[in-house]
Amino acid sequence: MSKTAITVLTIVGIIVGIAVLLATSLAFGYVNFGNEANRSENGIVAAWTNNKNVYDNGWKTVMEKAQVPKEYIGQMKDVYDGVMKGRYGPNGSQALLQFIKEQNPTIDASVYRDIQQAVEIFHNQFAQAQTELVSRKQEYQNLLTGTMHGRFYNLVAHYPHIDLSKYDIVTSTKTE
Amino acid sequence: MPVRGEKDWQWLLDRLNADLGAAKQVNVIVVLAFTDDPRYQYALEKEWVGGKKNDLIVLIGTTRYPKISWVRIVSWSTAEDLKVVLRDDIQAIGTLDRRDDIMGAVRKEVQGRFERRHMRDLKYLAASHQPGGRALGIILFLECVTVLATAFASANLRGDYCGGCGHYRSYHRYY
Repeated sequence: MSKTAITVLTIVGIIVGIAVLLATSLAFGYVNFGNEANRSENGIVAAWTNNKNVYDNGWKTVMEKAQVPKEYIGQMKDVYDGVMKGRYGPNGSQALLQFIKEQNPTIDASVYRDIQQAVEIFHNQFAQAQTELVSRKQEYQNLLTGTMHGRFYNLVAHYPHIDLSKYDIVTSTKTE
Repeated sequence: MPVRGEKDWQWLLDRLNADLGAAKQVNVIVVLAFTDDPRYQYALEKEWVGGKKNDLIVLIGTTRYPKISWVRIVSWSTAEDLKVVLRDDIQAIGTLDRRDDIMGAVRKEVQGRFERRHMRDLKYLAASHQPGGRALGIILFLECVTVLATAFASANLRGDYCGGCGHYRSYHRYY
């Protein structure tokens, strides 16, 4: 084999090597990006479900502790809804406690304190769950639109594969 | 403002962290703030970025020592019940002179309710992380150097070309 042929083969070898390395990097990068995007979407759905879970747990706990007559449960649910969604402002739990006191005037002071704490605990848990949902959505949007690899791979992958608007936090009418 | 029994506070806190630090993976910090404004909490959260992951910061406000004006609990822990119940317990104690009771309440609530935040809960925050431009440049440069070096090394493994017989030296027959 002539010296020229060897040189040509070497150059071709280098080009093929770079191409193979590049293709492998791209393939692994694409798989990694897909995994990350899928994990993010699953995390958003889970965080949204957790929001509902916290809301329901809070309602059940407060309802059990409050011992409000059955006919007032519907009204109490409306007030609870307002407290959780921040309709009554930062001291909104007072509105619910006021309602419970009106419907159950003989309520014991220790039970009253217990309810007060439960309302605040679930309000805080709900706020935290909502914050996490917002944070997860922001991170996912950043992955898709705020990173070089995200924008590049998403030309082919076309994420998001879920309707992100379905997984919004609940807001009070006061803030909208 | 001088705090009565500062060494006793420190001793109680050390004991608490020694007992619960490993068991509950918690680091309790007590902050006395000489102000009647509970919004001090937000300033502290901003300055300390909410504290470290396993910290539980007990923030006690006072303007007329030893009377407790307000209490706040700051932590990355998701145990919201701990934050509310411990705040109310310390508030009910009412005076900083009852430090044994205060630290006893902290011990009891931390033992019963504290749940540390796991790193896996925060892993999603790394999704949009990417290396900076300089780091990418260095990686690309190193990749190219590696490929070129490997290619040249592979080409030369067969030895030098011998124009006389048309073989590589390693295959050359010496007569």
